[in-house]
Amino acid sequence: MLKTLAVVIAVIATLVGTITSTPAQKRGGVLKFAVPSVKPGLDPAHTSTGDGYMLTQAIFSNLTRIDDHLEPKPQLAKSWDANAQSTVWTFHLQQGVKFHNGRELTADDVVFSIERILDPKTASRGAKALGPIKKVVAKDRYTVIFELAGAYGDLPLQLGNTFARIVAKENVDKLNSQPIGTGPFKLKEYSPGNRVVLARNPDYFEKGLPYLDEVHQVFLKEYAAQVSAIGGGEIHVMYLVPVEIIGQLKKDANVQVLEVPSPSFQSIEMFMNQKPFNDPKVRLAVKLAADRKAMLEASTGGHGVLGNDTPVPSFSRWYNKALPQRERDVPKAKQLLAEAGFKNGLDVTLYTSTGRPGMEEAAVAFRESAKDAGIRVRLESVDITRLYSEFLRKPREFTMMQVNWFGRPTIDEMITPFMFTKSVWNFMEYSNPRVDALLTDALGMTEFDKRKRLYDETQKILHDEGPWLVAYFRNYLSAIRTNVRNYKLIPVQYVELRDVWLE
Amino acid sequence: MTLGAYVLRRLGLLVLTLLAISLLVSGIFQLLPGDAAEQILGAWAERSGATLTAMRARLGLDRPWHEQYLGWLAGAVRGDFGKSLAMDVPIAPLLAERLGYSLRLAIPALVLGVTISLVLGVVAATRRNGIIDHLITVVTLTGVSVPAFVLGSVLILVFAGWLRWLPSSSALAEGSGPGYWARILALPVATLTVESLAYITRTTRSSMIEVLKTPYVRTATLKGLPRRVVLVKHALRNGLLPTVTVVAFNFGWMLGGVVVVEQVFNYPGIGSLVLFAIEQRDLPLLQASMCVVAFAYCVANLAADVLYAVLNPRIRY
Repeated sequence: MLKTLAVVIAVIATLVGTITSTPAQKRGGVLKFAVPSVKPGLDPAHTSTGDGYMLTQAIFSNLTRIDDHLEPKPQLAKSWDANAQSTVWTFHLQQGVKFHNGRELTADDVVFSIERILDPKTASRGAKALGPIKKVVAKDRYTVIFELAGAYGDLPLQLGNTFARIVAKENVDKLNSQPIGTGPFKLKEYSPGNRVVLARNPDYFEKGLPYLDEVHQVFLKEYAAQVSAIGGGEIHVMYLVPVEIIGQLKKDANVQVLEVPSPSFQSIEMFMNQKPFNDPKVRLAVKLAADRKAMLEASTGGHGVLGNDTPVPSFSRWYNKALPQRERDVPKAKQLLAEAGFKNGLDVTLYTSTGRPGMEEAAVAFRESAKDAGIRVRLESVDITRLYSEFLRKPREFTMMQVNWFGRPTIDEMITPFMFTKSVWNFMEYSNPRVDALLTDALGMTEFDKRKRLYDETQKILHDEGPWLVAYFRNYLSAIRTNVRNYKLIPVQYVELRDVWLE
Repeated sequence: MTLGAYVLRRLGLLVLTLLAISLLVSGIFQLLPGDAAEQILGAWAERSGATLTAMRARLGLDRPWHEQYLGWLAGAVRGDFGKSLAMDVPIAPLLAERLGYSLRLAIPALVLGVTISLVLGVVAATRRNGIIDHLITVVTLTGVSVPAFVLGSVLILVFAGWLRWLPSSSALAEGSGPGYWARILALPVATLTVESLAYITRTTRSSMIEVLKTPYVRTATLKGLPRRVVLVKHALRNGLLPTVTVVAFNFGWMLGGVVVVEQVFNYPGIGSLVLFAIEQRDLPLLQASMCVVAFAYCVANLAADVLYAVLNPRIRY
């Protein structure tokens, strides 16, 4: 009897303990989130901008979740494993997950959603972004098997990306305006270009989440309007903060500027098959002539890190630390140019644009520093859409291109689309069989150290002979009101709202 | 010709106008670089890739443009404007919602603008070249000379930024009902009113001056009628005629042409929908919205002409 009583008391004590020690998170409230541009449509197959990723991430769920260290974490899949060659992957699903219409999510929905993205008729860019998936099968109600065409270690990470959201098949024709997902929020009001209202999903499968009642994504085109609105408490989050306005925001004690290094960068690119950049000496001379620190300062006001002529930033765990940071060396650059037959210097045109912050500023800094080495740069500032859709795709002699690239979560995506022979964004027509072989072999490896050795060698090659001058990486900056809690910046600019709360 | 026949003929012309507008929009659109499929896939769409081809097929952009246009027209005649390419929703409800916003903005702004302008115009005319006349001229001309986006931004700064009485954007307003509408309409209506004052005031003033010089007004004054009666019953009725046309034009402008004002306040009217359709290369949506705007202009002008005849029995069509 006494024993029973003791147990009962212990149980009560534990219960009380858990109740009183529940974290201080507060429920409720409306979070207002300002974005400077919007692209309509909520179908995860076709969203391509940060404002859309944010909405689909709140409405839908993925098998995995990419966390703020860019690691895959469980979401709809509570665990996963692969065979030794990492060609067959098995994902074990959470049970009892409900779509917003009340139906339970099963392995069939996962198969349907992934197959839809891979189907050419869907016309999703994600068809090529999920990895070499050959077949997706529902083994039973809560188990999904991915059979791959080749070994692929990044599958769990890729299944957390924006294309791989799991959708309800009964509603697939209305995804753009009336989406049904399993995410922490439901769509309540959709008026793109004005505002989008998300409401708490009371049946969300992670118990107790989300904390917020509603999230309003509001479109405020002018940063000045956003600064005034966040100062007055009309909005809680500014999704993007250009460096010019950091000073204004920091004056306000109720506003906090958040900053994280990101793999986004602006490269100066040289056509491999056009004079004079077909000569590796000229490419190296350009890389040596550039004053990286001046370019970083001009583009970001110091809110970034130096680049080392590869798309891999120095804070990445994949970065080749054995590579010395390239420093400016004007005499060496001049010497290389002379060896390449340009004793009297070189005249080139650099295409740039004001369409993305910091581009033209860095181009001007580059022009000034290149002058000392005898590289005379003429700047041609064009509309950003024309730069990408027209000039970048037309190799020409004595021409360089400046491009703004967004950061990507996996090491393979950081390099392969740009540097693999004839890859989608390999506009510079770089081709090196050794690099192709390294990238192919590395893709299938799951063991970090072995895999990293291959990427280290790739970086070494690109650092020396690659077509890109990567002078700097730009930090990702947002601003929040100080009463917004648990808001974490994810370097690839995804937005996680399920565990954010308002004080 | 009777008034009825005249109205019928004008309505016939209206249909032709709408047809011409939609054809023109569709034709000009072909000259713009890029299409909706490229917009949806983003800046990094592969130009020649299978993805782009598949997206064009999905949206029906793989058909020749005259076929696309005729398809749209066949639907529009039956009242079906089709689907927005960018938003993937039927256009008619979307347009109806935006039209509701635009009417709620245009009607109060027009009523306010016309009322204030008429009073100012008449006052200025009766005190011609006096201090008050000059004051009215300076104030109204200043109003129209300040660009709408500057005036709008200043109003936002004062009433949303400093005083915090009103939301700085329509997207930030809360609630529903008359209170909600008053909050989101106050600043845009004020801006449009100020912008429209000068023209209507000037027109009213000059026509009133002409009318006040006429013998019949002098007769009315000389036979001892009170000043107020002379002005309102005798002079104003004739003096209003040119104003009516100006007001009609203003209505069309406020309904669809105030893109800048709608942008400044993030107000979701027809004007911003037109801009959105152009940016997203959404031709069906653009054709439909432009037809609505053109329709509003035409109907307002027709109403003005009919009113003209009613106000002035000497005019017959």
